[in-house]
Amino acid sequence: MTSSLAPVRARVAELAHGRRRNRRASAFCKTLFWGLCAAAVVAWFVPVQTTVLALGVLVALAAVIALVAATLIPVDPIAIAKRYDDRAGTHDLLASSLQLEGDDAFVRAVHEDACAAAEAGGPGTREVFPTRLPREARWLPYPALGCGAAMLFLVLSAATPPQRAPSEEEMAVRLSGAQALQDIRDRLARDEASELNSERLRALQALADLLKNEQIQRKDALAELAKLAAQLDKERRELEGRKLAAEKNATRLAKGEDLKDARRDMEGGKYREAAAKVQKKIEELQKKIEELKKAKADQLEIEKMEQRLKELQQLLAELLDLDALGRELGFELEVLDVLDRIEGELGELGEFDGEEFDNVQLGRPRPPGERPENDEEARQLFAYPSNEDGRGHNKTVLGQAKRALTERQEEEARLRESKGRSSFGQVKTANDRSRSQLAYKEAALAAKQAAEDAIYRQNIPPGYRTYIRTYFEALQPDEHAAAGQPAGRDK
Amino acid sequence: MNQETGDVRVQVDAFQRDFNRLVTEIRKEIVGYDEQIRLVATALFARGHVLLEGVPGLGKTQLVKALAQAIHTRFSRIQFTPDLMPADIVGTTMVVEDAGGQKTFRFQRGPIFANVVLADEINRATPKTQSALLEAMQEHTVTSGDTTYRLEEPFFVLGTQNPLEMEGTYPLPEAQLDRFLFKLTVDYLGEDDLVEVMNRTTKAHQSGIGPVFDIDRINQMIELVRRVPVADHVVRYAVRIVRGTHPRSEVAPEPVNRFVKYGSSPRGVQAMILGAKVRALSEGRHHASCADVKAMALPALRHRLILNFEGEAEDVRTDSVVEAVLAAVPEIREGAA
Repeated sequence: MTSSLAPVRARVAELAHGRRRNRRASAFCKTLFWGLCAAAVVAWFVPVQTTVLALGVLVALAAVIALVAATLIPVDPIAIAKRYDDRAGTHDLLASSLQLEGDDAFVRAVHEDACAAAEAGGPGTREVFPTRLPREARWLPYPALGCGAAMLFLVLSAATPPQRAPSEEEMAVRLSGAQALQDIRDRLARDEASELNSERLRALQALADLLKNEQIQRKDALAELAKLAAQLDKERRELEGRKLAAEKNATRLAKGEDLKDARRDMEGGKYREAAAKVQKKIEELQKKIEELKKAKADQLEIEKMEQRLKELQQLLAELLDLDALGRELGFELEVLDVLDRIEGELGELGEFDGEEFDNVQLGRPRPPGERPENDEEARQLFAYPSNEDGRGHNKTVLGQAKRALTERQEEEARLRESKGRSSFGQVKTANDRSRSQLAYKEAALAAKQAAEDAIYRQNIPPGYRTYIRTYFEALQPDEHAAAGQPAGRDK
Repeated sequence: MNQETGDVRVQVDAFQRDFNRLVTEIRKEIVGYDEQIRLVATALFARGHVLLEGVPGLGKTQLVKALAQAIHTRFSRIQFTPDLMPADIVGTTMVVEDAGGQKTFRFQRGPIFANVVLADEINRATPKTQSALLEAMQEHTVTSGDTTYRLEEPFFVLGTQNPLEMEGTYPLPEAQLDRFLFKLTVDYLGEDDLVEVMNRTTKAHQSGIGPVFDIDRINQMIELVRRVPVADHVVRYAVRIVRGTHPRSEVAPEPVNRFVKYGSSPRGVQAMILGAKVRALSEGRHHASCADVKAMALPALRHRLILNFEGEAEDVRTDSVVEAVLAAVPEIREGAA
């Protein structure tokens, strides 16, 4: 007969909870420790957000592993009983009782003693399996600090300087520009004849919203503005190309005395009126052909007239296309105008941070020693005449300006139909090792004019425009200097 | 509690009482050496033999004599000398003339035929003489000619040897050493104990030591020891300790691998288990524990380890090796108890 060991087994089962608890803590800390070690290495190479996410996953994984380890790995009741015996000083009584079997009187006595010991109380679960910090837990702060250091380093290295709130003046400019853009957008959205797609409308709306947003810095707004301007400029060039081709076709087709009025309108850019006149001619010609066909006139003549009708129809199509292109181009230029105005006004605001500007727009800060301290110093720097006139290798700004004005050629181009003609100057490179033939004042003014033209033609990204303007304004001699100097050596 | 377990409890209590009485009785004669006294008594009830080692004059022989007086058994003392012959120990066949003048051969029993045999300075006899004890110690029998004589139980050999004066001695061979259940080292006494020894030996002193129990009671107690159950994890612990003394085993600590040539034989496990059982009973328990095994490890294993050349050269003590094994071997391995 084997004695019942129910009290012993119950006691062991109770103690097993403590064993599992410690095992969970151990598995959790071990997983966390090694995971953090790996994270501390990886954190230097991945974004902070990824590291934070990985740490969250790691903690969850460690918790799962701890639960699985505590649940799936069986606990040894003999080991637990032995641990209890060691704590209670019962000399392996419970552990032995769980293993000794048989009907021997000694074994039964052991069982009885064990049951009595188990029922008598003794150390509890907390005493037998005290909650202790796993060895890995003591080392946890080190990889955690490693992770923290990596993330802190990445955050600090990626941190942007504190953002300044835009001034009232700037906001006024931005809101005004945004309103102008919004107006254009609304008007064009209502215009059914417009071929503007929704993407363009969205771009205008987005830029307007961005200008209104106080959180957006001026340089960012200027960058967005430049992006849209570059896109519109590209489209403008395409439209101009198409328009030139259409004009060529229309001019070729608009021959004959009967189209004299239409040609005049075309030359004046009045394509719609010209188209109306051509339409009238087409209708007249169609009637005439009908009549000739009824009268059974000469077939050759009818064919000639039909040929003429085809040409007129082609001309009409070209004129209508030109009219549409004109409107498209008008829109492009109008928007570019507005963008240019906004950019100019924003760029001319007083407190623009030159260093920040250089950093953001030019890619490198100018060392403090090279930067003029004030306007007067800048003027002197730029106004001082080069003693190596015409050689083009002087490092001063003045030398470059003079070099750039040795050849000037006028060209004409029609940029916008709705506002008449405009002109621009094309500046070519200076002659090497020769004296400038232009007075400094004249050269400076020409250079400034050329720069303004270039800015006007959207060839200069908005971010650079203010810098260029400042540069050429500094080139311009003041009234006092203009009287005799600095062009003393310039003839 | 039923009748049977009640009887067991009574027997265990009686064992504990008698054991302690024996120890107390010996202490009347022997000052200090409590551990050695208990281990000698343990070996007696474990049906083993003890080798006592210590410098002269520490009371080794006195301890054995006190034991013999306390248990009221036949005691014989054999002083081992280089010219001692096996027949001087086991006995010899002699021609005896009876009253009628007829001569017959008769086996004259030697001093081995006793319950407690003191083999004093055992390492001074030749190996041939030492080996005369082998059969007696292991089988508890003596063979002379073609006749085997069974020795009376209990048969308990206590050998003593002197670690000094090694000249002219014959170190016990390993097989002989292995027959001893325990090897006990007898060290110098402390100041208080030495004063007490002086008081007892330089004045008129009557120890008053007398027999505590007789042979039958000893045999009963020996039988009871064999009935003590030992759990599997305790046996495994003893086995792991012995395996720990084997060089290059997976549980062997560094000192074993470095200094030990041969580890303990399975008799080492038997010695620890039997000693653990006696220790459990002497403390009134019905089962042996890992702590009992651990307590028996040093006396049971120290003479079973054979050091290699490096160990000998470094003057390594086997005690320190066994202690290293005990420190390295866990009492229980989870899932493998």
